Amino acid sequence: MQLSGGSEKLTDRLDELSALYLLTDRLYRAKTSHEAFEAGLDAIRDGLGCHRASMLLFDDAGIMRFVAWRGLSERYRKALEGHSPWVVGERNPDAIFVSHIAETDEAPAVKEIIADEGIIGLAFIPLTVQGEVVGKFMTYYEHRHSFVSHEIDLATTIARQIGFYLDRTRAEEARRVAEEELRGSEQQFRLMSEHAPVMIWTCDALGKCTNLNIMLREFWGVETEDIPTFNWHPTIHPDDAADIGARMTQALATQSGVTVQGRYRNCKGEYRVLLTTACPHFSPSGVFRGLIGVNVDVTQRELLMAELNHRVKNTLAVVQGIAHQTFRGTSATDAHAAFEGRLMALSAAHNILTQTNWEHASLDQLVCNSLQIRGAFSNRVSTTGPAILLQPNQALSLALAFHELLTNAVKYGALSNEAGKISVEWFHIAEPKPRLKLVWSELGGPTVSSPARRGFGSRLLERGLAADLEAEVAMDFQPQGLVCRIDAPLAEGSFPQ
Amino acid sequence: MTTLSGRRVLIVEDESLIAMLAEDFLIELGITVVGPANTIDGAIAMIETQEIDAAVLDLNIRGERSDRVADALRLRGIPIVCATGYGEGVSDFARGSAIIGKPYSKEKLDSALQFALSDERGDRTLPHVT
Repeated sequence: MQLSGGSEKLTDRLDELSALYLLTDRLYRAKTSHEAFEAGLDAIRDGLGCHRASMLLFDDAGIMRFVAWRGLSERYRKALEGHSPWVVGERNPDAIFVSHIAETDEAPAVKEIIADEGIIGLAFIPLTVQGEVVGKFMTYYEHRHSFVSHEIDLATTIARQIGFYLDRTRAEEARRVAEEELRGSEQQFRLMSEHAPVMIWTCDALGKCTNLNIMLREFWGVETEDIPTFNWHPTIHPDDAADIGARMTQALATQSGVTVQGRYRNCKGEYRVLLTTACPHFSPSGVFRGLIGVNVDVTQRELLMAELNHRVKNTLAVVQGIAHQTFRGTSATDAHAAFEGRLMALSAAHNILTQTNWEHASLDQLVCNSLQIRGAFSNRVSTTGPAILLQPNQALSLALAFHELLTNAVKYGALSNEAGKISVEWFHIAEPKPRLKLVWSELGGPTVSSPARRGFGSRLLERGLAADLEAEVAMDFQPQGLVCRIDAPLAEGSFPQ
Repeated sequence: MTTLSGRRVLIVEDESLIAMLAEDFLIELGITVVGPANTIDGAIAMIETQEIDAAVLDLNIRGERSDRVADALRLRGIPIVCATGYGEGVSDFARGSAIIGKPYSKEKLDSALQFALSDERGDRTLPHVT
């Protein structure tokens, strides 16, 4: 046993160990890639006793570029830049150890450049991040060099340490870029919200105001710094406050969206009609964060709507006036009365539609209004059926139809005596497509026979209603009373849940 | 049941065909028609100079809300029937007065006037002037 030789080897191992310790520490502290690469080259020198070395990385174009080096001429670096045994993305490649360059099958030109630089033995050790090659580090020797296993192990360890460093910095860079993009995107959305020509707000899970965009701050005259203490509730018109408060409370409690309209006082003391649409927002882990809402000032729209309704009703009154003057002094008293009755029926249907801004009309309300359920015929007419919402055109057609049926019943049918009754029943058929089936049946009036001639009422029902509603209408003059069946398609959403 | 016969009722309405219709209805109800007035100033002049028991007042006269007419009527304790197409603020305007929607039938006008004149609405002693 040769002690001296053994202690020499022991010293070498200690050098390698201390070079690795140093490398780990320097990589940990490295502020820049340059510092990290220098640490790597120092570790190669101190651990392997190799004074010529280099570090290369693939650039964005996939070309292997020198990033740090020791003992290499500029000419050499220029000539061999891009030279790589591996391509970008190659996984877990093996290091290549060349004892003598002349013994490889490299191109003669490459061999010549290497020989000119005075290099004989050299090693290619891949730098990998998550298993993918991103570069290499090289060691160079001026003589034939037989790489022994501890050298190979050390080179591999250094390469891994640098790989870890690159992995860490790349992840940090990716995170930084992502954060910057997120900040940019957040700023972009903030600007969009700030300058949008609608009022945008957010509130927290308790309904506390957290953000108001410019338009809404100007509406209420609130400064940005006063938002945390701002309470918008007192600006609601007293008549609307209870409804809006209840709807908002419910939206927060059920963590769901809400649409609500009402009057709010702006900083000039004027009430404006705002249509609010708010939706809930949640954190990525699903925690309810509050509501994001948009308020649109619909005051002008409401005024126009009111003005339009007003004009329509005025026009109907003018038509009534024209008829009055036309029929005046003639013998057509019945015709005049019938005309005015029809005009009033149309006007009454308009009233129902006006209440919903011409969106829809409730069938129940339409039937009750048309048949004077709360008036003259309260004890003689019964109605049953589910809530159904009619389109405006359906409502107008049905209102006229009910008026004709009622007029007919008063003149000849169940309401022409003291005992007769009318039942109006309707059903909602869901499948395959929504349909309304309505049955008007009279009972207890004078014995009925099919009229010899069809008047306007029958024509309106059998043809007008059929055409307007795409309905099937059947008038059945049974002896005990008229039965009229209406079977009409309904729009989707006509059956409120 | 208040009798309308012989009462003097002012019509304030800018649409001539509607005014004529109201006039005919009132005459058929046995009422003596004052007016019709088709401007706000014209109506006020009639209120100031003529004997009037009640008024059928259109909410809008030539694009202007007829509040001044309503005020002049209320100052004298004259009951009002507000005639209107559907519009914003009708109940604010009416302040408890009878409201009839246009178009209205003779029967509707009859009952609205009956209501307005039933107890004179107490307005003669306590005018709603605010």
